[in-house]
Amino acid sequence: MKAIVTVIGHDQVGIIAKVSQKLADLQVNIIDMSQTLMHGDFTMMLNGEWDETTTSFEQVKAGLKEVADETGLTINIQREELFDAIQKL
Amino acid sequence: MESKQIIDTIHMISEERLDIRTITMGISLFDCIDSDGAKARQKIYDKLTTSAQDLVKVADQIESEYGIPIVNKRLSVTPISMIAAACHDDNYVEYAKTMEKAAETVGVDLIGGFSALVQKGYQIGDEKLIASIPEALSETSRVCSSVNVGSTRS
Repeated sequence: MKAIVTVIGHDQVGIIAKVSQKLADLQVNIIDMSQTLMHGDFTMMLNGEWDETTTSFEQVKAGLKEVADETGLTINIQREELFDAIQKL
Repeated sequence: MESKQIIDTIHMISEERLDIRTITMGISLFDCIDSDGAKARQKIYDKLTTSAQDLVKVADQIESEYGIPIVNKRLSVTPISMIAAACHDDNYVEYAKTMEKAAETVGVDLIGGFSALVQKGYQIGDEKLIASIPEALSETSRVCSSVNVGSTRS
């Protein structure tokens, strides 16, 4: 299963570390990642992949919610097919 | 993976209100026809509540995994004028109430099919259905009704 994780919020120390550690704990492999800083707001997008038989989508979503609650960031996770369907003909 | 495309897609949903307006499950009621109206309605209720029992749950799962709202969950059935014609009831309001009850049980927002197709003329079931529409709609809140009066194919 592949999904896009987006992280947006106030820049702070340790964002990439916390998000990637949580994903590693959940057995999610980060295939691609990009991040930028815009007007003091941190924006990160990453493409994560994992074996659905060992970890469910809801588990990954719940794990990321913990990081979001702890840091005050907005973290979304959506299946990759959504972006393909909307952007690709 | 294009960053701008990802931001654009997320923007469409969060700022521009892109959503999935409805998901609909179509269910045939031909196997529920019965000359006894009460039996027919029981068969209809059972079939609808069995076939659609997971619809709302699956819709919620889709909403969660894709991050896009699904505004309405809907059922759509074989036009009741065809299904009820075999019974000798004077009106079909009870069929609408059965549809309503089934919709409530499975948790969908809308159920369509309290309908007649008359583009080729009227049968007895069509007349009774149409005459039942005002009362059926006033007694229910999720039932949708229609009458097809014309077609380029008829």
